[in-house]
Amino acid sequence: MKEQIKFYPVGNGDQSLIILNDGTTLMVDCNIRQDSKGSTDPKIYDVKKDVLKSIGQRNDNPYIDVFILTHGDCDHCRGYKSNFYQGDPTKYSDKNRKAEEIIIDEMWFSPMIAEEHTNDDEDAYQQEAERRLTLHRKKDASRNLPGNRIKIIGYDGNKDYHDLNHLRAIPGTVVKEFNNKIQNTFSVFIHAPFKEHLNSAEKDRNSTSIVFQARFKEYSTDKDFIGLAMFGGDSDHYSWKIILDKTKKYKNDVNEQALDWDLFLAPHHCSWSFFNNRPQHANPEPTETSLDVLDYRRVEGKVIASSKKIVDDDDNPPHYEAKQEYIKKLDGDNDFLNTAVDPKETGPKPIIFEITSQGVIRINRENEDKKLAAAISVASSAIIKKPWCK
Amino acid sequence: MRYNFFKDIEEGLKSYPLLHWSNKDDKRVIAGRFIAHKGDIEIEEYEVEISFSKDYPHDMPFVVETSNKIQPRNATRHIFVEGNLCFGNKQDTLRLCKKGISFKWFLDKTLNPHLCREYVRDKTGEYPAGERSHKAEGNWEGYYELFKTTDKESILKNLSLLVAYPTFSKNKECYCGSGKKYKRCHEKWLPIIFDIGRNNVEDLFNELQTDFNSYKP
Repeated sequence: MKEQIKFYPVGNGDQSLIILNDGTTLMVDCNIRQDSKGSTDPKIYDVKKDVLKSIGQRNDNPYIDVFILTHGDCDHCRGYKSNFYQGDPTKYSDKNRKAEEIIIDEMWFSPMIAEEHTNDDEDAYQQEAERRLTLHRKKDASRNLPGNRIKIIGYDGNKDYHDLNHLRAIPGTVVKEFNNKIQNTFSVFIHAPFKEHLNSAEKDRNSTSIVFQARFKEYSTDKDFIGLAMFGGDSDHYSWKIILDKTKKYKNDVNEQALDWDLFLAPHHCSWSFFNNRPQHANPEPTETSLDVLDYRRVEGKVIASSKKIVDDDDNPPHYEAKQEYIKKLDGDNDFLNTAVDPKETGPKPIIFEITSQGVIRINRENEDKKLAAAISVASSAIIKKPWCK
Repeated sequence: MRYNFFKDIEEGLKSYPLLHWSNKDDKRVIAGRFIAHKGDIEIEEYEVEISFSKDYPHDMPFVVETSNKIQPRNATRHIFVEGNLCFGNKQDTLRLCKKGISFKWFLDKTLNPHLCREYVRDKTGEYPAGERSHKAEGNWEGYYELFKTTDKESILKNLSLLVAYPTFSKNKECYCGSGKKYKRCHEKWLPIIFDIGRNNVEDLFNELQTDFNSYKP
């Protein structure tokens, strides 16, 4: 199986899927809008359908290995409550199966989530996390079953989880174990959220986003990475200044290549807040640190804006001037991809990258469609129509 | 004309220049790259290792997909425990191979479509024409289609004729218990039964018989 990263067209929101070579799947955020389910309108992509096809099944039940919720805003967890299973995994019933509820084997939970109530999906995520954390607290025998696993990312907010520190990954650490399985060629470098935000006057929830770098190697013994993808949630330029400072301070930019990127998911749906305070007309100059972050681009690196179509107006996000700033750091317009208009505005499809020994390669959809059509026609002309195995 | 194994293989290799003879654990195998294709359209490249059982050309060659592109490597992707690809149920494959197959035919008509459908499975999550049930039921399914019935007992009776062929006579009483001679009763099934081929059917018959008995109360 090829390692892939998919960025789904979900309007102004985030939803990405990382697929590893052993079939392990990691979902980063979700924005499953009600009208996208079973959508026959080519303008609205049926994201749930593609997710179900891309993930695995265990005993006929769809599951993903890891779900990373960067933060609790609705455009990052919309549809969580109705599309993902919550509760005791052994009680997954026919009803849940019929509703195609996806089991999350291991959830990544930032205690910054749901510090206050904003939406039902976030509350449901918080509640499910609390259910799992209680099992771990009680040292319940079932706590390590898939569906009960959990990782705490970053530091505590109002609630105290310090007794569960063995489940915690703080900024600056490299996570290699996903859903109880150690990966040899894949890892995640956690960049944020930080402790500092707790005392910060900045009350913007976006600055408490999980920020991480997904890292792919060809062989476990390699020093270099063949693919590096940066996922920034809705983090703003304040977060990135700290990320830059801390990473350099601990020399992780050199030792771990922790700032390099082949793919950069433009934070906050290509918002100006990555470059400076909003509104842009009051703060038109991008901060040095944000520009420095973009300078860690590797050859042929690409920026992905997971947002609606970016037009030249004052809207934010996505922000037109932000797009222009990104493009300045790229080789041209072609390296800036917008989920809403790819391949075309009238029929957006996921933007898919494959991680190969030659690097991160964009999958040419037209070519893929042609190959798939050819494969289907050859397969259906087979003399033995149906495969079998004992 | 007498069957010539090496000539047969050479014929196949002519059309597939990326495959070649190779040594594997003191055994001669065909190894190399196989590009699933439709005409000029190259769909996906796989590495394969092909070996032949003593029953070849009356049985399919063993193919191991060594590039590990098909994952997971188990029955969900129709890979045997031994690591070789499974092309179809026994009933289907035996019937195809009963008169002997050629290597080129195998590459064109079995391996290429098989890898194409695995490619489709990778991309869409589904096999384009569906798949057989696992285990014995998948073998029964072939006969359901052949005899147009799901009555396992009647299928076994039909097959038993084939197994007992040397003592079979059309003038004997029909197996169905009608009291009529076979030729005046169930003879219409005879061409189908003989089309299955007698060579290898015995093992399969025993397997199905055992499976059938295991369901009996």
